Amino acid sequence: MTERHMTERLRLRPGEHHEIRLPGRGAAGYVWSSHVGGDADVVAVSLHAAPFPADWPPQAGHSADEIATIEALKPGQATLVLEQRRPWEQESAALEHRDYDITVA
Amino acid sequence: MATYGEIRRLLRETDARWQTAATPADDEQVPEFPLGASPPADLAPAEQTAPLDLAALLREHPTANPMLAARRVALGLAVQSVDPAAAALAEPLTGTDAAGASALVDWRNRWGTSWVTGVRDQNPCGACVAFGTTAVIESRTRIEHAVWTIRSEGDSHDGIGYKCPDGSWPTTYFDWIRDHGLADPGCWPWTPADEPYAPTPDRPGRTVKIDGGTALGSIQDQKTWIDTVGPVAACFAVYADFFAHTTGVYHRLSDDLRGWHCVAVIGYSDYEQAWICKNSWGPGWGDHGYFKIGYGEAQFDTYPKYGVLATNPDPLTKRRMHNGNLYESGNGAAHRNFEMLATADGPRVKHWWREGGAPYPWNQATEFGSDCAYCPTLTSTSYNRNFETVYLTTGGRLHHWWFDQNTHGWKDGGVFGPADAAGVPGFIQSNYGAPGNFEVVVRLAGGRLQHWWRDGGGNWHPGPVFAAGVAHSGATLIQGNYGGRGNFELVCVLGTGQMQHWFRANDSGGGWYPTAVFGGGVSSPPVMIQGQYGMTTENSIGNFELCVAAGGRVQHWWRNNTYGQTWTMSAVFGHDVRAVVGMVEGSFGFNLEIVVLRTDNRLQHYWRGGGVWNEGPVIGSI
Repeated sequence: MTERHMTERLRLRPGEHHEIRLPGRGAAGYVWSSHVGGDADVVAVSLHAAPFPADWPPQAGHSADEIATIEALKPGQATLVLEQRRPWEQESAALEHRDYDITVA
Repeated sequence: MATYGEIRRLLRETDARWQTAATPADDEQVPEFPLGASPPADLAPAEQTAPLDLAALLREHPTANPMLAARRVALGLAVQSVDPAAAALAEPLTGTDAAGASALVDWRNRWGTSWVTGVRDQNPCGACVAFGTTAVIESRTRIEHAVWTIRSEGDSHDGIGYKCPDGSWPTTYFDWIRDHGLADPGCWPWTPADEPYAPTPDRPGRTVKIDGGTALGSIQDQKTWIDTVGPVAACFAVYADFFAHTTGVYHRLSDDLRGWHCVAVIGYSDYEQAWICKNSWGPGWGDHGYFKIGYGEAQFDTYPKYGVLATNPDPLTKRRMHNGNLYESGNGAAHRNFEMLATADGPRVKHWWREGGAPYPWNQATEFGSDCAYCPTLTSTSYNRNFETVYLTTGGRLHHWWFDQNTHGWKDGGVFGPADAAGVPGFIQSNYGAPGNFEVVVRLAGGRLQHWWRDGGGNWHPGPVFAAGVAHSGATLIQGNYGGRGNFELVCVLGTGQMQHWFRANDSGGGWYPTAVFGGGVSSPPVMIQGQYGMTTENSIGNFELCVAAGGRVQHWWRNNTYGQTWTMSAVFGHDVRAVVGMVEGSFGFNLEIVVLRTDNRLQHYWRGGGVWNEGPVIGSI
């Protein structure tokens, strides 16, 4: 079930913000989580929901996409893993999994 | 909020009424999401929904569920006779609200049984509405027709044309199901894959039909509906903290909207000021897949909820619950008419039917055939819900006829079978193929049994000959739910006057095997069903129920399929009985109903309610 993407390389300058849009499946119970490795203090990662379009009526089953924002803090190398899974199914494989190698220089 | 630790802190600080999971570490993230949804553009909020004239609706749809009838009468919503024992059972032990509705309803455990199918998983699609609406239909079918049914969320989701991520609203589903019915997983299953919708060709004959969804605007209408009709579908906003909910009454602590969701509301508790809901995120989420949510929380009461009143189960749903010459069809306003075939004027066959509402008159329909030796074995199949019958001919063969639901006429299906048939045929539609094969087992003149089957092309084939010393075969053949496919089961009467139970192991080679020998002094064909007693869930194995005449009376036997698998005689009743010819467990509160052939060649109805067998009317002469 896990959808794994190729490792993507990102090159950022200190102070730069980079956004990654992630498919939301919150209405089925799935949320994204982030895990930073390497020089963990090189970047700060936060996750936010993308807003529903203003003219979009709610439809049960629709989920807001999510946006991971990477803030480059200082020069160095870090890895970022983004995983989508249900909070109560931590032992299961992630539904979707994305890997990033980040260079801040 | 960003972590489980913060949720835990909020729960503590706000004196919250719900709990979160114990497993995740405090620093584990619960992602943050801003609010973003707009007010609905094309959906009327609940307060704009017209008040419901439930009494008028229920007058058109009187229920055969005796406890439900008692609730409706108690609330002044119906005028119908109520069984005193059922009324006592239905009395709300936890009090009522100001309008008279029960203060606490939980259809998982109401009146001594569950009416809610198990928790399923929409994983990972946006198909929650398919799951919520399917759950409502499954519960309503059990409540109204006293039978578990398993429907497929994939049938409606894919039939409408939705893809995995697509959202929707209950009205879209209930409208589609009103027009097309809702099939079982064997016809078209739920899968997350976006495969082209290709149900089996017999889909029209294997759907539960409904009359559409009814919008319920006010909380009082919703509660009264849940109390007197059944579960409803509801949509609400999912906020980030909802994922972490396990037990207690959820109330929103987060502003982070994650999406819109639909569930089945299976009850409510005024004491906790909460709805009781069945989610579709698997049994690992929440409280074993269920949750309670406070009235009005997360926009739960912002939009109408939707219920289903009339359900009309398909022949496959009811296929184990009738045998012999009697069948409860989906015909009639209440979808619970009885259909019966009996010999008439010698070798003719007469079609009788009983209206599904009071005063339950029996009526005579058409006659057909000219070679019938004994009361036919009647069923209904996934061939367009047609009635099908096989009987022993006066010439020692078997004869198949079918009732075309489109033209309302009986059509000759031809003579087949052994040249020396000498007993009452068991006759069913099995799940081999779609439409399923026909299966017949009949006694041969030499005292053995032979299995015959008809393939999807309409050709009959002889199967194995088995058993010995058989004096009577009967309308006892059923495909129960032992094993993955479901074994064939039958009981015959031996020359010793004892009965013998046989089964065919359909998961392991298909051989016929003898099992228990029981009873004694029997010299007439038995009738057997697999009923709903013992089925605590939709996947439980119901007990076998058997009635047979002995010494001018009826013996009722049953096999406890939950404990011991032993045959026990529970009652002897009736008088002047030559043979039991038909048996049904129908929509009438799990009652067993039989038709007997009397020694004066008249047919009589008996029924069991509340554990007591009652003598019904003499229907007519054969």
